[in-house]
Amino acid sequence: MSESIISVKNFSKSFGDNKVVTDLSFDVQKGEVFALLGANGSGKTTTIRCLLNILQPDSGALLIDGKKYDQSMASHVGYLPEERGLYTSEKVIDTMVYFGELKGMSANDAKKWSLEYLNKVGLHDKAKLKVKKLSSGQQQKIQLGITIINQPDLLILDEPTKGLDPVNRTLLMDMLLEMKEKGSTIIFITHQMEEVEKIANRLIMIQDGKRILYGAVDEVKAQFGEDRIHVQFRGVLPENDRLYSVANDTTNSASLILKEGITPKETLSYLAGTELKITKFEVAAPSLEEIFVMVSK
Amino acid sequence: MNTILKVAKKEYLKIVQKPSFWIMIVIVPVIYLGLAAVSGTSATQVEKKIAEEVKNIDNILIVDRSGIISKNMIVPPYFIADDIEIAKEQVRGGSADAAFYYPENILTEKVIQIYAPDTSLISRDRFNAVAVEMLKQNILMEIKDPARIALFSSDIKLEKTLYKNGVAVDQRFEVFIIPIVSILVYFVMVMFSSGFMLSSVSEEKENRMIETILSIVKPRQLIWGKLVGLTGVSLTSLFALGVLMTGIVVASTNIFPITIDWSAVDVTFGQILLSVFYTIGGFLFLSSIMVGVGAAMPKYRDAQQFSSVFIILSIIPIYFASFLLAEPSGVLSRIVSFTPFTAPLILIFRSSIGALTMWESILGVVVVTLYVMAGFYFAFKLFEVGSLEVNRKISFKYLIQKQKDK
Repeated sequence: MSESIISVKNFSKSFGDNKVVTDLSFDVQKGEVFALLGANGSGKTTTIRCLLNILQPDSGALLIDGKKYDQSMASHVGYLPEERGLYTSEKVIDTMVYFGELKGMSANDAKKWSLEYLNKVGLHDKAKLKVKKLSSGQQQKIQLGITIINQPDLLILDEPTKGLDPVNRTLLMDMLLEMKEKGSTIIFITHQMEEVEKIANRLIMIQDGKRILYGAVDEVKAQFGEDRIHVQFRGVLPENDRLYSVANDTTNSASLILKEGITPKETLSYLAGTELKITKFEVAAPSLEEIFVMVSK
Repeated sequence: MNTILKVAKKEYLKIVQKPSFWIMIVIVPVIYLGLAAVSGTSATQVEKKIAEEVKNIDNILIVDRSGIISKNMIVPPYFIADDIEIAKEQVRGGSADAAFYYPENILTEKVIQIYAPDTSLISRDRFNAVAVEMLKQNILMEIKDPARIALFSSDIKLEKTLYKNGVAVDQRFEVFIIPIVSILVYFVMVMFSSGFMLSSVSEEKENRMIETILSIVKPRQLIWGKLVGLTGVSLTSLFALGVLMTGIVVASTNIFPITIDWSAVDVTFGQILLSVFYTIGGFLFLSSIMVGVGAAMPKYRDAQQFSSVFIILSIIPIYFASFLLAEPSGVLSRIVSFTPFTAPLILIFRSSIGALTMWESILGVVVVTLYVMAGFYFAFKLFEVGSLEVNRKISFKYLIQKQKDK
């Protein structure tokens, strides 16, 4: 059995009369990518803030490596919050070195690592510029840089791809995978379900501060059954309330959700008997996005 | 290096590496010198212009109805005239430079009338002294003793001995050097640095840096680090200003021979200790207020506007300085010695002029310590509650509600 790096047990937090998180429990295993999912206001960020001792929980235990987080453990942790920014009037390299030093690195090591990182992300010529001279996407790369400068064992990212263009998003995802391969544990909060499907091992989904889904990505998807058919076609897809309902239909494709007791074989036989020309017929589990929408309703 | 020192180093370098910091340090004395130079030059120019005009005067008419002016005293460029109206006409026509009229009732009314062309704004009073001097010299003529006349015309020195509690008081101006320097040091330390503290806290909140930092640094480490760094900034600015001002004083005393009697600069070790304590206390207290304001306001501009209330409260004693100087141990002085915001400055001033009793000094230390503790208590509470509230102002009601939630 894998070793837990994070253990959250019976965690609750309220702001006044507003109960933000109620009796939440989950574990994160060492070396895995763990997705923390939920609609806006569901309690994800509050959970992370309490885990990192920025806010205090009302009850329950939030432990990292078996201990309550203390800022002296920052040398092993990287946190990229949703509300993030930089010292805009300072030079890029000075900002990065400062955070490196705060995380226990020597100034020389922090500078060396920063210059290598800037080179890697295509900002080698911006080291001595003031942060405010950088574009928003470039600033995001600097923010990620100061998050991972200490090459943390535990990386916590709150909406890391928010505001990134597709090129930079791919770059970020590749870097996360690289860190995962090096053995880092990654927790990330996101609304981009394709990212979760791409890199996450396990997930938790929170709604109104309560856990509604938890486990390995495949297991979670399996809970919703393989009752879905992705079909591509030419012609007009006939309606059939007895066999299926239609979701996400376009001119030439659709997702069909099968009615209870109906098999894919029956559906294929029916469609083959119509004038529809089927070019692709695929049985699949629902996507995380579909599950997210389904359980959030 | 521990975390507080890392934060302190960053805060210190962030400010002292800015050219604007050094420009400000140099600019203050330079502006002072510039204004003094402009003022001195313009005064000299005025004197020159008046002297030039006076040099060209060759016809002043004297109309005497008082009987005080002796005809023997009237020699060119002064001339006797009988009718003031004719004399006025001559002045208007430009044939006379001026006319002085000494009326019959001068003993009771004490008025001399002067008529002259208006040549410029700055030389409108060019005949005042001449007209009065003419009258005085004629009155002096009535005194027969030349020694008494000489005494009347000489600069009479005054030697005062003032007693306080039965002891003669040192009245040399040098005794005020320490109070003035203490107050200047207080202003540089407190006003300068507290502004930096506000911008430092507000910047991290407004730039959305604060959550990242709080995941690495404890709030108290962050604030103490800022305080240490900004104290370094204040000491650097004090040192630089001290060097500059010393240079200016040395240069000035070479140009204008002012001698300073340093034996009059009397300060005890206790006074120095108290001044240092009150200055640090004032700095910490106002800094705690700035931390609270910076944490409570979502934007630096809002924080700056709100903080000006506290700055005004701190410098308000300046507006009733005359009361404090007149009665440094009076009721008003005692009250403002122990009220928040005003206490450190007034205690420093009263201590440096020896107007603080031992009991008041001790009470001052206790009161300033309590204010600093209370200031930081609320500052930390506001910081805990407000630092992550990036879009809202934190009211006291909200702060209290948050404390109840804990």
